[in-house]
Amino acid sequence: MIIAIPASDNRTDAFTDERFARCPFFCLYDTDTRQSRFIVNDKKDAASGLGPQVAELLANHGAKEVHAMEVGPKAQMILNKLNITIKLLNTQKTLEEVIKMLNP
Amino acid sequence: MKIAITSGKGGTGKTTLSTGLFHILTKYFNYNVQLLDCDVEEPDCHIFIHGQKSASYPVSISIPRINPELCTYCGRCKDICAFHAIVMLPAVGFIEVVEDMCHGCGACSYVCRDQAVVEQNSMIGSITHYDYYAKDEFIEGRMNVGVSLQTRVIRETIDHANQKSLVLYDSPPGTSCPVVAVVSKADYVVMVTEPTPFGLYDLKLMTETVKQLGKKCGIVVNKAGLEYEPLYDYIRDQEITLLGEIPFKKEYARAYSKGEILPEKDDRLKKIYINIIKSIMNGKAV
Repeated sequence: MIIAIPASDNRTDAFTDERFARCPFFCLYDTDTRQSRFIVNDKKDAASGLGPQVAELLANHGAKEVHAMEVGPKAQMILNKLNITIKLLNTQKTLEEVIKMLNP
Repeated sequence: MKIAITSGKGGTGKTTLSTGLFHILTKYFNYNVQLLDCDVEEPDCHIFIHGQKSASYPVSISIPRINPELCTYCGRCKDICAFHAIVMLPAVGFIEVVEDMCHGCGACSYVCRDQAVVEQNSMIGSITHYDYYAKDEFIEGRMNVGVSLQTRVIRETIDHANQKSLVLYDSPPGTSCPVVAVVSKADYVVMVTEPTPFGLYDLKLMTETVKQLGKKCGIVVNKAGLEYEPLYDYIRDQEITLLGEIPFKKEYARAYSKGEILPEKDDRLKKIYINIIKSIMNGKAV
């Protein structure tokens, strides 16, 4: 299963990004292969209403779960419709720490 | 003639001035006058102007729905949508319009070759007409709660203006799209400001906006007496007509908070309002 995490940089020692749709990168972590890769969030500079587009981007990359600090209402609506689970992180962590929690 | 009453900063006295000018025009001048409340997000002229309701019209837009059964996922609607309101995932047979983001332009239904887009009316606001005295009219534009298409409601409200009348537009605050939607339809722009650093800062933004739109304009200083000289320096430097000054007084604030029409408060104010109208009419306006 692929989990998408908003990332402030494209390295696993970087912090998760506080924003969902406006983060510069997404870390896509595959729980089966235990591999992570990064995709550029090319929607991040859109003026408004980018949540649904980002949800679409993640769905296109096969994400089944999103682990983020917060997700906007429009993005939430589309993620729900696409059966992508949202899990909220309560504190900012490094991606490594988040991944470690997924695979203890 | 169409006069827009604007301000950069909120709370400087747009509505106080608009309703006062409207009242004075209907009572002491021989014009057919209309007051249009274009601050559709929070219209408040009705607190001061008690007219007789004569008609009400809905404002609606056509929101598309896409039938996934007919859709071939060609992506033409998604590509043409300027507001990125269409989410499409061909792999899972998902296509939907995000209603909050749709401006109802109809482009998606125009480009669809599969008759998959069906448009449905969605109410976004209303326009209400009120008779005021015998010949005059107050028209209020009001946007529904939760809707974000302010300019659409404003444009439709302005369409209700009678071309033969003298029309006052009570504009929303600020200098963004809703204000531009009002100012661009005016022949003359009254900028209401106050002698404070905030008042001056936002007046500068407003002046630049009005200049770019190539409109004639004048300034009314409300709450005059607060003593902030840089405002007057700016008005002089820019060579903008100072149409009048409304003094800062506790009684005026109290009258306003009770929904009273300010120029009826005393003769001094009445004279100030009449002079503002004369300056607009005789001056650089018409």
